[in-house]
Amino acid sequence: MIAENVVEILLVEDNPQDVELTLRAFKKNNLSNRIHVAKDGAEALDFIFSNNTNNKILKFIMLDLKLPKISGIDVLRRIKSDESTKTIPVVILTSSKEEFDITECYKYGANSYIVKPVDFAKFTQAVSDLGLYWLLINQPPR
Amino acid sequence: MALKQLLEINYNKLLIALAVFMALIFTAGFFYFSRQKKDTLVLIENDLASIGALKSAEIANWRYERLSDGEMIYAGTSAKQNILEYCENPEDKRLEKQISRWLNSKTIHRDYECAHIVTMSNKFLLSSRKEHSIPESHLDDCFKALGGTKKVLLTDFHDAKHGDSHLTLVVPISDEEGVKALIIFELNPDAFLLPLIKNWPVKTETAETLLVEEKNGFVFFLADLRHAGAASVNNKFPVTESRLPAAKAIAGHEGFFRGVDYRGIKVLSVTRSIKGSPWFLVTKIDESEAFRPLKRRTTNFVILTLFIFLSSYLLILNLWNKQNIQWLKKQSEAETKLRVLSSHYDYLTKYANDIILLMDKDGKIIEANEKAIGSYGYSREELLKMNVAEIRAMEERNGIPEHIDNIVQSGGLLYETVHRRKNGTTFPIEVSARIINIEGVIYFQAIIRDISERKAAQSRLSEKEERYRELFENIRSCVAVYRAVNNGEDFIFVDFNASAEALEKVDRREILGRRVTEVFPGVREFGLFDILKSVYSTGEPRHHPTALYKDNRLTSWRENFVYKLPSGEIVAIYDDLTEKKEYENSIIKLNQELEGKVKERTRELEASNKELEAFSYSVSHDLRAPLRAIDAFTKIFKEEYSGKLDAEAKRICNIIVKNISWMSRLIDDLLSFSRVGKQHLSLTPVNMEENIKIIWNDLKIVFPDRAITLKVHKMPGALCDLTMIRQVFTNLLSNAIKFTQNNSNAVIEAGGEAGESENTYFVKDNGVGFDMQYYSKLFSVFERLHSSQDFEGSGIGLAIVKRVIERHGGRVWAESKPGEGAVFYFSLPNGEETL
Repeated sequence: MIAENVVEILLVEDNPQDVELTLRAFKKNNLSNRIHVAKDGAEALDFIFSNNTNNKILKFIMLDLKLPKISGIDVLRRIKSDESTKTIPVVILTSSKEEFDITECYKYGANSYIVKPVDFAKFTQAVSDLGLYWLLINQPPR
Repeated sequence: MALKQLLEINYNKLLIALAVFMALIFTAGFFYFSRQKKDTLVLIENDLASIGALKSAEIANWRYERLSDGEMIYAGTSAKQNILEYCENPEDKRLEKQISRWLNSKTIHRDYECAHIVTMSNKFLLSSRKEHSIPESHLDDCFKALGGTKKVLLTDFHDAKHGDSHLTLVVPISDEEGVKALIIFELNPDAFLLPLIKNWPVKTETAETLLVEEKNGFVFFLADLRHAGAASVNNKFPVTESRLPAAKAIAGHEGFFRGVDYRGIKVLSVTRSIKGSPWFLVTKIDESEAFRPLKRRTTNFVILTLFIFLSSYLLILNLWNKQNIQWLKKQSEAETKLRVLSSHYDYLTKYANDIILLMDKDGKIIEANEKAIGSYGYSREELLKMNVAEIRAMEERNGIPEHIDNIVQSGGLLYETVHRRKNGTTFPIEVSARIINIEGVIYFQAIIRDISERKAAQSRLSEKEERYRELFENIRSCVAVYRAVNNGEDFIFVDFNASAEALEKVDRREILGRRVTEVFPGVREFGLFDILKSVYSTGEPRHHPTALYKDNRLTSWRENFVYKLPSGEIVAIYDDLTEKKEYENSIIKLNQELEGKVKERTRELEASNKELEAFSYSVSHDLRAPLRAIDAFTKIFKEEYSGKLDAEAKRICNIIVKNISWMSRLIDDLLSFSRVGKQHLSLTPVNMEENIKIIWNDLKIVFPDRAITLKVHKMPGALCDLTMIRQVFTNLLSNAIKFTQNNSNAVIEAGGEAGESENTYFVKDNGVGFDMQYYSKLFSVFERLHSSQDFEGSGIGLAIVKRVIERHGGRVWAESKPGEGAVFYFSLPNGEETL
């Protein structure tokens, strides 16, 4: 799963099917070799904060909310409260349409909130749009 | 005004005193001045006398010395012999030389200016100086003075040839035959004598010494005069001039003399004669100089005294004025006070509510106030002619002497009696009488009060007493009256009513006079005891709320109200609340149980709510993930293996996908249904017509190929949650669109009307309608009245409508017949009520 080249996208997702589907969607856009997958919140934080280079090259993070060990909201809070990581765009990719989750995520500084469509075609579309937007179109501060 | 005169007199007196004081000071000053003058005179006299004595002694001494010189020459041998020989033989140059040398040696002495040898024939034989200055007349005088004698002679002053005054010492040179020649020494008085005379031992402006002699009956001044120059010497004063000190001296006066000198100026002088000479010495000083220090002192004294006088006069004047002003002010204040006081006093007596009479010692009325005139009916003139006995009721007159005795003995007396009016009626009074002493005369003053009212009230009082006693005994509340003992440390019963007796199960005869702590040992714990103490000390009424009284005899709940009587006694009014308290307690107990139950229910409800929340959250999140996986992988399967799948397999795949999508929709609907129940209502005024139109425009997009007529009737606005009410209209309109899909002429109407307490709204369609026999299922979750093949739907739309409306406090209902369309109604409260 670990990309050989430079890691530019961090996907935090515990559901292996969703991981596969997401990666599939990226593959269609030739983006899969830049993705690192963390299976829970702890792993995600470990990847972001364990070495200094990771947080410098990350273009964006895709974050599920319902995660084992450390929840997505907590991961988001850690990222957005740390000076070295707060500029990394975080896109929430979740099944929850709950108003509470949406407002909470935006409160803590999420850059996008996307509800995973059940329909696979729509899902693929959404994920590939996401990758294109944050990797190619968006101009991060540097 | 007498006051002003008095002030002026005092002022004049003060001035006179000041003048007398000043006169005394001046008299004392005068005597002091006289004394000082006398002392000054003595001092000056002493000075003048001692200076005169000294000078005359020196002059005498000088004369004596000069004569001694002459005597020595006269008695001498060798020089004398030489001169005699020279007279015989004037050609002898050796002699001449010798004599000349001798003569010169004599003139070395400062007094002797030059020396000459003169023959008896007036011939100058030899001179120490080439020329002599002796006038012929003087030489004659010398010869005359000698008169043929052989004595040494000192001549008087004479004018020398060159004008100076000179004296000469004449020494006769004689042998047995007589005088052959004379040695004449010329003496310059300027060398010694005149300086001696002129000299004065201290610095002075006017003091001088005069050397005088008598010449031809006139005073002759020998030395230069200090004042007036030489000219004055020519002034001739006869020796008989009595005021001139010099004349006085010549006349033989020796000692002090006050006179007028040659200038006509007053002088002090001392005169004396000079021994062995015709000269007299006068030492004198101008009076003006002599008295100058004294005069200066006197002037200073006078100026100082005048200054002191003037300033004290001004000071006194100032103080006097100030004091006058103050005194006048005080006086006027006192007068004003007095006037005010007297007018106050007038008012007091005039409008007093009591009769005030003033009697002399016999009881004759001499003053009466307005009230007296009004009360007795007599005029003032009549009253002032009466004796106090005449206004007493007949039957009371015997008491007068006794009353007067008592007043006289004790100075004052308060008593009751009866007075009589002019018209014969009587009225009871209370008299406060006392003796007053006005400038030594005894009067009686009586302040008399009509006590008819009081008497009447007293008789009424007993009736009232009876009434209150009845009330006290029959009242249902318990009443206890206490009196404080030991300075408020305990209380004894003074009264106890029948209700209290019954409640406490005591006989009042047993407890009256006993301490409350003794009769009711639990009174401290009960709390009433502190209340009694507090009311006793502060006088403030206190409420003692319901509390439990307990001792070994009684147990009951009481509520007390305690207050203090004007007499100082404490009253406690109380009720037995035992029954009420027990009743209350049971209610409290029930309430507590109920509260507990409510709390329990609430807890359960909250727990189940939480569970529901967690449930719907996991439905939302967790149910969708597997659905997504199934959907995705079915599609991937279908795509990637499309070559290997036959038509049937593909159809099955499609069914799977379709069901997944159906399930996904069910999940969404279920979640939105549960959200409606959870969400907080935020009420805002909503324009219903406008919202219907907005929603309709959104819905039309979903059904672009349907031709539907929407009629919006007038609808009242409502206070409701905008989002939720939109959901309601969306659901109802969607239903209407859905159930008219088979009708080519679909018409949907919406409207509403305002009611008394609620507004009613409706959505009507001309669709398939429904059978009212299934009405009960209409608004239930997942209940559908049509097959999903005919009309697709999850069966949750109306359930959501019902829930929203019910949350707003409204109702929903519907009317329909199969094939004749349906009308859905809902109502919303139009008041301020909220849920």
